[in-house]
Formats: sequence, structure tokens, C-alpha cells
Amino acid sequence: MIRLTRRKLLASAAGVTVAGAAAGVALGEALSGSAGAATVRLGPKRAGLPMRQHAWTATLARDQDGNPVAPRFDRLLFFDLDGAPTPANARALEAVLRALERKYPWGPNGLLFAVGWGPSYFERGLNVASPIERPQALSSFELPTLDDYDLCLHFACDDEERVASVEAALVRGEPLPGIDGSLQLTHGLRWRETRTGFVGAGLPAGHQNVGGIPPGKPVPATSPLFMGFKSGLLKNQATEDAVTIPDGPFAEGTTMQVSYMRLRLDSWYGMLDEPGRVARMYAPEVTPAQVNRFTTDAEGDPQLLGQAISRYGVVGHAQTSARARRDGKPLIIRRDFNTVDGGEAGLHFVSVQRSIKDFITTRNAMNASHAQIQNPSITPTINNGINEFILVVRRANYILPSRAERSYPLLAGRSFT
Amino acid sequence: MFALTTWKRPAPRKGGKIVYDDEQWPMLSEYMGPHYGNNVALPGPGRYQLSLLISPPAASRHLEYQGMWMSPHRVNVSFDWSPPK
Repeated sequence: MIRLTRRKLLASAAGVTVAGAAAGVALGEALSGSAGAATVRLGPKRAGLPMRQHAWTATLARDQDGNPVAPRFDRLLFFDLDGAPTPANARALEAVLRALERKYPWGPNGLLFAVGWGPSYFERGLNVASPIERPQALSSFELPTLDDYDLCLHFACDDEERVASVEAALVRGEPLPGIDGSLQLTHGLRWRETRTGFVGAGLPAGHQNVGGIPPGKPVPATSPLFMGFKSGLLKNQATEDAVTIPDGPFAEGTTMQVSYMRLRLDSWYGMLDEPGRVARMYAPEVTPAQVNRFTTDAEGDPQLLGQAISRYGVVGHAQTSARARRDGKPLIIRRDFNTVDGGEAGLHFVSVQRSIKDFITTRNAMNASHAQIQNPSITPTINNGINEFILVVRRANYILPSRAERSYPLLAGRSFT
Repeated sequence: MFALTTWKRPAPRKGGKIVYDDEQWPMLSEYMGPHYGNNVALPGPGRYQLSLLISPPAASRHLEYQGMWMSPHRVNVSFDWSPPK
């Protein structure tokens, strides 16, 4: 299904490489130099960019309640190392990233991005211990493919054509207006996969004619996500300070978890009514009228979880997940988005957190696997939040270094001056 | 939990389409006993791939079953189907 997207991309790649090659001037020439690091021209850094790659929130617009509004379009690009990593390859990647930063302002009106490195980059590429653990299945009802990519690039902005053209430039060498030369990442990197998506009012309704969504256009017209509710409210997100690694070689960095979930909303929309969906998304004690009045917090009081289990026989996603807290605050920042990759309704669940353990804690809370012991009408999936409706198909973990360290972190001999 | 995904041929990696993807219901019947099932409508004759994701039993366990079958299994099969005449 994701491969379908890849195939389409490959099919369209043949026609554009010629144009990309023809436009190859300054940057392309600089990158093609094989004599070593000294030949790669980095170009100047754009001034004033945050040290943290994950510093996105300050650039986002706010809704009337003060919640940050996620960028509307996303791309995830996955690459593997092609040969042993070299300082020249590190400079080549850094040159491309700096070119993007010079072209686009840091924000949803320009371009936000993050560069993450997987366990194999460290273990196979550098032959050092990985600072990030390998992904794993995290419930009794999922058996995801565990991705093994070396590099993940996450791009986001409010302009779909812009993320598409950045993808085309990096993957296929198509020219970007205003940038001399090819930005194609072929220097020691091999493109493996692209995932696409969107989040924001109206977008899911406009994409609902896909597998996983029953007929009859059930997705509400203004809903930002396929399931019909908002996410990412201010008080349901960790702060960027809280997810930042405080010290060590990845200080000012964070960790990124990237999973692909298929949404199976036939019974979500076909068999549940609005109160039934609200009970599962938030808590059985919450009513649809209350949901309409939510401002910065999705209610679902975990103090009422025992009552939800024993009296209602159904528990809410917000309610179970709200048990994963540190000093009363959530542990992760959701940067997820919907997708129709492969013609199926899905969710690319991207989250950043200080350590992958924080993600696992959150996922375990959401699983609520203990509820069945108290009430057998709640199984790990049935009447258990939204567990029934999402199937994790793929998962991966990456580390996001600080901006200064983002290109081939820990590689000896790198120089970006 | 017992989830079933069915792809119409060709295989999903060759552009096959998911025709059914849902959890199965726990059921009791007089002659089959406890089982999982659901009614599935297939779009037409052809070869199908079936992928079952079978979770471990969620139940209190006798000591002799502790540690046995603790993680999910996947079973993949393919079958031909043509509608009855």
C-alpha cells in the first residue's frame, strides 16, 4: 500500500531527472566534487534559527482558544546510507538543508523540518552503540513491521505544493526556483520511501473516498482528523522544553517516533452514534455537548476511570492516556497527520518525546490492558478507547540531534565551517 | 482480539486492494463452541489473500499456561472464491 505510492513516484521519476540534471549548477557542482569535504560549499547559515530542530510550536498560528494549529501538509522521506558515511557526505546533506533554510522561512508559511537518525545509522553506519532503541510492538493486538531506515526527514508547511516540490527536489533532483543546482540526496544516501499526509479543518472530509471509511461521507466537514475530533490541544501536549534532551551529545535534541496506522472506521461511523464515539475518544462521562465546549483540554478524567470500567463498561482514549503524565503534564508532543497513502485512510503518528520510554509509557496507558480484569466487557480492543479502530502497521524510532549536529551525528571528521 | 484483512489479488505489494479489514466478534454457537467471526462481503470471484492477526488470550491463566502464547501471531493464507451459481 505504501509501496504503491513509491511505485507511482518511481514511475514519475523518469520524466523529471533530465530537467534536474540540466539545472545542475553551483550547488550541484559543489556536491558532485568527490575530492573530499573541502570541496563542498555549505553556503551561509540563515540567522536566527532555533537550536532545536523540534522548535516548531512558536511559529504556529493559534486558534481562538490559544491552541497551536498544526501545519496542514506533511511529507516523511526515508533514506538509507549508500556506502560508509563520510565527512563529505555530511557536508553535502548540510548544504542541502541550509539551502532549504535560506529559501524558506522557519514556520508553516515557509517550511518546518526535522532530521532524524535511526538505530542502524549508528550501529551499521558508524559501528557505535545507538543512542536510540529499536522499535517494538507495544500491544497484544499489533504486529507492526519495524522499519530499519537510517534517516528520516519530516517536512511540514501549509502549502501542499511546497512540500511536494521539496520532496521532488530531494528525491528526484527536480529544480527548486531560486536555488541553483540539484538538491537530490544521492551523496551517500539512497531514497527508500515517501509518506504523505495532511491535518486541518476540512482536509479529511475532502479525502474520505478511500478504504477504511464507510460510504455516505461520514467525516464531519470541518473536522481536522478522520475520526471527527480535534487533537493536539494545548494541555494534551508536552512542552518543547520538556521533551528536550538536556545534556550529552544530543543536548537540545529529542527523540522521534514514527508509526503508520491504518484507520478502520467502518464500525466507528457505521455502528456507533456520536455519544458512543465521544465515550471512546474521551470518556463515557463526557457528552457531545461538552466536547463542543472544549478549549485547551480534552477532558477525560482518569480519576473516573474506575467508574468508567465498572459502571459504563467502556473507557475513553483521552481518559486512559491521561494517566501518562510527569508533574501533571503529558510526556509527548503529537505531530501526527492523516494520510490516504495506498488508497487507505491512515494516520502517520509522529511524536517527539525526551526518550522513547516516554512514548512507551503513553502507549501502555492508552492500551489499558488491565481493564478487562475488572470488567470482561472491555477487551484490549473492544470498548477500549480507540484501540479497535487503529491498526499499527509500521513503527520506527529516530533521534533528532540539535540543528548544529543534525547532519551525520557522531561521525568523526565532520566540519561545517 | 482476532483481526482479519483480506486483499483482492494481486498481492497488496503489487497494487492489490484491501476489501475487508476489521476486528472479528467473539461468538458462541451450538455446534462450533466459542469462536470468532463476522459476515464478509467479497466483491467478486477471484483469488484472495487473507491475513489474520491473532492476539494472545486475555484471561487469567493456570500456572501451567503462564508465559505461554504471550504475543500476537500472524497467519497468511490465500484462497480462491467464486460465488455460488
